Amino acid sequence: MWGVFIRFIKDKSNMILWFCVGALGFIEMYVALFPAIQAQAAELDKMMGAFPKGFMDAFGMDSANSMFSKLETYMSTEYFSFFWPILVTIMAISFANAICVGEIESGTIEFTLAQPISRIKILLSRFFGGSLAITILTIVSAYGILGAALIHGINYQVANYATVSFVGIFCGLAIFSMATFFSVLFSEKGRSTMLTTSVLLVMYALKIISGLKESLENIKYFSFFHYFDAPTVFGKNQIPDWSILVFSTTIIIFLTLSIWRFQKRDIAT
Amino acid sequence: MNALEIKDLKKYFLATIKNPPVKAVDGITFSVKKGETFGFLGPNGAGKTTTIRCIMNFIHPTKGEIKVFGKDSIKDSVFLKSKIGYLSGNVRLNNKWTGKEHIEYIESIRGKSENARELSNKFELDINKKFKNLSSGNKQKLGLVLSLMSKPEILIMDEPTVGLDPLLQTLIYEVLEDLKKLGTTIIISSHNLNEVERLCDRVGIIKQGKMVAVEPVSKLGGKRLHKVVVQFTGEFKPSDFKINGVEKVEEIPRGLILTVGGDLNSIVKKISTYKFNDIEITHASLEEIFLKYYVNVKQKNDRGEVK
Repeated sequence: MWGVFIRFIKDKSNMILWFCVGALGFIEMYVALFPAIQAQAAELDKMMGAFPKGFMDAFGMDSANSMFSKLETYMSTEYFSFFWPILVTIMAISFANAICVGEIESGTIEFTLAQPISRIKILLSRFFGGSLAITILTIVSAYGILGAALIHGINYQVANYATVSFVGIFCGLAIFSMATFFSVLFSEKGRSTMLTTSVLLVMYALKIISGLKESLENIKYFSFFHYFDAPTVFGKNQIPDWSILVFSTTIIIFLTLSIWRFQKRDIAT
Repeated sequence: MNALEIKDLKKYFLATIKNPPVKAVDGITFSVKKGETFGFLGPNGAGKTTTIRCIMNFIHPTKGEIKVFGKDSIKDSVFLKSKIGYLSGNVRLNNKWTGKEHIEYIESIRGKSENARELSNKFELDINKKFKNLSSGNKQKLGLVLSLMSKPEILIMDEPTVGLDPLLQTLIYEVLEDLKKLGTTIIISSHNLNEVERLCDRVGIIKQGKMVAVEPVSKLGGKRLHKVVVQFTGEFKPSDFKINGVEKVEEIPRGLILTVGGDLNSIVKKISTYKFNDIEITHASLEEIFLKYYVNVKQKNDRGEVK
C-alpha cells in the first residue's frame, strides 16, 4: 500500500509543486496590492455598498463589514472565494482521474491490478495521496498569505489561517471524494471530468441564485460553497454551521461508494 | 493438483448504447495441470482475453467458477496474484516511468526481486530508458521481465508475441521453454498455431465463447490442414483428387485448390502422376482449422457423442 501511495505522490509531485507556486504567485500579487487598497478602504467600501446585498453575498463579498480594511476579509474575496476553489477543483479532478479512469484510458491499470494488492488498497493509497496533495495546497495557500503579510508588513489575525486551512481541507476533500467516485464509475476521462465540473458549477450557481432571490434562499444548503463561505471562515474566523459535518458526510459517502464500485466493476482496457 | 480449474465459466456483457449484448464466454470448462503448458487457441474475438481477464480478476464472471491452485480467483485474488506472472500482448505501461521505476514499483508491492536485473541483462534491455522511448520489442521485453521477476508459479500470457519480430519471438519461446523445464505452469493464448505447437502440451480451442476442443498438442498435427494449389499443364480430372484426406476440391482456371487434412503424402503422390507447372503448399488459415473442429464437434453433438 505504501509503495502505491509513494508512487502516486511521486508521479504528481511536479503538479503539486506548480499548483503551489501558482497559488503563491497569485497570493503575492494580491497581498502586495493590499496596502494601497487598504489606504482607500473607505471609498471602496462605499462604492461596493451600492451593490445589492444578495449580489455581494453571492460573489463571496462581505456586505456587512468593510471588505478592504482587513487582509483576511480582502483575501477571502479575492482568493478563497474565487481562485482557490478553481485550483482545488482542477487538482481534485486531475488526481481523481489518475486513481482509475485515467489508467483505464491509458491501458496501464492492468499492470497494477495484476499485482498482489487488493483493489481497496489501490484505491485508498491513491485517495490518501490525492488528499495529501489537497491538504498541502490548502495549507500553502493559507499560510502563504500569512508569509506574504509578514514580508509586506501587513497586520494579520493568526487564528483565521488555521480556521480557513481546517475548513478548506474538508471542502477540498469533499470535492476530491466526489471526483474519485466519478473516476471509478466511468471508463472515459472526459465523462468523469464533465460530471464533476457540472456538479460543482450547479453548486456554485445554487449559491449565487440563493443570494439573489429570497424565495430560493434554502437551495444554498445543496451547495459546498455555502459551507465553505470564505468571508465567514477567513474574514470572521467562524466555521459555518454544519459545514464540517456536511463535508465529512460527503467524504464518507463518496469514498464508500467509490470503494464499492471499484471492487465490483469490470476493469478492461 | 490442478494449477487452474475453470468450470462453466460465462461472461456476458450487457448491451450499451453503442454495442449489442455479447456472450463473450459461454460456459467453458477446462483445467490445466501443474507444470503443464496450456495453449489457448482461438481467432480474434473468440473469448481468450475475456477468459484470461476473468482468471486475473480484472473482470468478474457472470457465472461459473475459477480456481487457481485450488483457491477461488475472486476471494483469494491477492494471494493468487503473488503466484501469478501476467503478460499481455501489446504491453501498456506508464510512459513516464523508466524500466527501473517499473521494477521498483513491483518490488514495493511484491518485495525485492532476485532476478530482475539478471533478466534485464539477459534480454539486453536498457532499464534506464523511459517506457515511451522503448521500441515495441523492448516494451514487450520489459513486460516479460516484470512478469517473471517474482519467479511466478504460474505464468499467464495473452498473445505475448503479437507484432514482434521473429528474433524476439524466438527469444520469448526460449524463455518459456526454460521456464517449462523449471516446472512453471504456463497458460498462453494465441492465434498462432505454430507457436502453440512449439510450446504447449495441451491446447484448448475456443470459438465464439465456447470451448470447441481440449486436446494434447500431439493430436493437433493430425488435424492440421494444408492448402495445395496446383496448376496443370495438361488434362486433369478433379474427381481423381477426391481421395482420403482431401476435404475439399475447388476448380480454378487450369488447376485446383485442394484442402488436405493430416498427411500430405498421398495427395503429393497423386499430383505427381500429372504434368503440372506450379504447385504451392501452405498451411490453411486458422479459421478453416477452427471450422473443422467446429464441424467435428457439431457432428459429434448431433450424434449424441459429446455431453
